[in-house]
Amino acid sequence: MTIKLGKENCALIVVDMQNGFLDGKGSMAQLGFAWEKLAAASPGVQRLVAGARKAKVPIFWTRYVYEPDFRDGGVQIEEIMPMMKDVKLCVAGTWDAEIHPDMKTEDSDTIIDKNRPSSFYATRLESYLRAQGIENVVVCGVTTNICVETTVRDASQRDFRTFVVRDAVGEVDDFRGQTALKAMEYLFARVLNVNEVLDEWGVELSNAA
Amino acid sequence: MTMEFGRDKTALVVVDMQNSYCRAGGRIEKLGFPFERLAAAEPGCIRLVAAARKAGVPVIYTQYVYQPDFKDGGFIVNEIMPALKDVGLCALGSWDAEILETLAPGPNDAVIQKNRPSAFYSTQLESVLAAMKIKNLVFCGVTTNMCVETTVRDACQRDFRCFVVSDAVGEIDDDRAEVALMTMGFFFARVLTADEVFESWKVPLSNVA
Repeated sequence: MTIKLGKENCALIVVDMQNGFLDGKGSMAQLGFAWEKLAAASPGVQRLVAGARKAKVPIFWTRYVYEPDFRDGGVQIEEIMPMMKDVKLCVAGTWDAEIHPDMKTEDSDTIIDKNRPSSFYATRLESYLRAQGIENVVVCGVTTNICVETTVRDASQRDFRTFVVRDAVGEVDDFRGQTALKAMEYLFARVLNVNEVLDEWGVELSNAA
Repeated sequence: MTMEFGRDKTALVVVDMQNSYCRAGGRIEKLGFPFERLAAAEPGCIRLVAAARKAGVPVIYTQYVYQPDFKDGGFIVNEIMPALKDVGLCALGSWDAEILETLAPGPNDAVIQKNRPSAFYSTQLESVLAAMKIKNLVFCGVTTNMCVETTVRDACQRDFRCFVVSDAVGEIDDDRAEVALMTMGFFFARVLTADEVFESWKVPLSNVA
């Protein structure tokens, strides 16, 4: 079954495309995770962003940001993955937490800081989307199985028509990456590729883009 | 480091153990899914509930319930899996929506009705847990990758310490079941067996075998 997606009432949500996840000197690389598999999302995300600008689809960038002393880290930081604290993952004000320079954010974009996997939990995202009459969300970024999937589950449950872009997401583990897409497609979202999104938005990019 | 817990400030959450998912004649069987794989969670859930009663650990049940005309179905029911509506899955007041007789809630147990995968979204669960001063949640039920996992993601983000019982959950696909446990163990929970729960609660195995 095909689920239609136009550019009307649509937003692009770009999840956590930050130095900490995408750069070889970032905190995920320091933890020994395959950061290249996250960086692999970058070309697809850049094409989606370029397409969104052409189609005048608003762009929301989420950033994973912790307090320098991790007092907002909670169970995930203190008990499940304490090594994130050791490498100072995405600490506020640091290079690690900045959105990667390839992403070319613009002042008119909205940036949503979060300190949990879901971009909806304890953030202002939902109010921005409702205020702008957004009904459809296209989600891309990293990591597929954790912050992208948690955000997609939340968007779908809140009755945003939710679309995930398989060639603009990245995960450090291939099996988790592939199965995450399957789980999202099963009950939460339609999974499509960058070209399909651009077609739905009615935009064409030059080859250079 | 292993995340530990005991009886104190702990609740058992039994997710969606309803006729629909676990019984022949239930709507999941009507949809052609192997309900036996979900019913496989039943013995483990029964043992956990028995142990919780002995340990004085409160038991909380969740129940997936839709309005009979599915006006609360939204994106998931209307666009992703319309078959749920066609078969009348978990319609309010139906046998399909009832919790299994073998796991029937007692008069003092909290039963949380929900119409989305997460037991936290638009329900009373969080206020019930806050009022009871619960910090640790032990999860069993169905389905591992959908309602259990969505609820565990939400619980962990809210800083409940989450424990998922691998031999008291059920899923219809093997790969999604495997990745669900892997994902929860990666960043949202400690995955453990029912016997380990009994040990933590200091309930002799002979009492729950």
